[in-house]
Amino acid sequence: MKVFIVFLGLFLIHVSFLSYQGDLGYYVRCQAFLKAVAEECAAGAALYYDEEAYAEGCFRFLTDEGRKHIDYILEESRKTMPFPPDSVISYEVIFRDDDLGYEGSQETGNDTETEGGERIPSVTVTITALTEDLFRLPFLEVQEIKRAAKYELPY
Amino acid sequence: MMKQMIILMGVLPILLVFLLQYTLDQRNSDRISRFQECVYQAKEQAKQKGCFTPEIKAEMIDRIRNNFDIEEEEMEIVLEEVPRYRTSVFDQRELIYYRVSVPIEKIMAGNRLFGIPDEENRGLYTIESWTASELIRE
Repeated sequence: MKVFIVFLGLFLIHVSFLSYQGDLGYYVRCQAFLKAVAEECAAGAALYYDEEAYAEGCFRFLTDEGRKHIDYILEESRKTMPFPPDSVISYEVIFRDDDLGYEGSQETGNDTETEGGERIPSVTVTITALTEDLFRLPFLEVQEIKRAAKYELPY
Repeated sequence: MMKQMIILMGVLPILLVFLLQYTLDQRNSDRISRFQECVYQAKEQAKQKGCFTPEIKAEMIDRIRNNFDIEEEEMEIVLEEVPRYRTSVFDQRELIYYRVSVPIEKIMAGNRLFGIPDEENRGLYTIESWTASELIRE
C-alpha cells in the first residue's frame, strides 16, 4: 500500500509536469507563428513607397498599400494559425517616414533615430492574439500573446 | 516484501513512460525549431530571387533531410517556382506561396502500452504562408 501511495504521488507530479511541458511547447509554437507573421507583414508593407516623392528626396510610405498587404497576410494566416478557433487576432502598424515623422520612436524604446540624428524609415507591426487560457492547469494563465517586428530601410 | 516488489514491477513501466515522453517532447520541439529555421532561410532567399529556384529548393530539402533524417518523398512540398516581381502597389498575384510539411514520427512514448498503433501516433507539421517578392522586373 505504501508503494502504491508513493506511486500515486509521483504519478500526479509527472502528469502535471507533462501537462505544463506540453502547454509550454504549444505556447512557444504560437509565439513563433505570430513572430513570423509579424515579420512578413512588416517586411512586405515596407516595400510600398511613393516613388515620385522619393525622386524629390522625400521618403514616404504608401500606407494604404502596406495595410492591404498586412490585411491579406493576416487573413490567410488565420486559416493556418495554431490558436484555438475562437481567438481574436488584431494588429497595430506604425509607419515612420519623412512625411509622418519619426516622433515617438524613443517612447517605445525602438530607436529609429540614431545617435547621430540619422532618420531611418521603418514599419513596425505588432500583432496581438487574444485566446482562451493556453495553460490547462492552474498557477499559469496566458490569454494574450503579443509579438512585434520592425523593418528598417536604408536611407 | 514480495507484495511491494510486485506492485513496483507494475508501476515502474508507467513511470518510465513519463521519462521517455519528456525526452520525446524535447526532441520534437527541437526538430520543429530547426525545421522552421530551414524554411525561413529558404524563404528569405526566395524573396531575393522572386521564387523558390531549383537551387533554393534543393538546399532546403537537403537541410531538412539532414535534420530530420527523412527522405524527400516523405515531405510535402508546394513552392512557388515561377518568378514573382516586386510591385509598387499591392498585388496578391505577385506574392510567393510556400507550404512545407514534415512528418513527426513519434508523438507519444510507449504508445503500444496504451493500445495506440504506430500509424496513429504520427503527425504532420506544416508551415504555410506567403511572402512578398523583392525581385525587380527588368
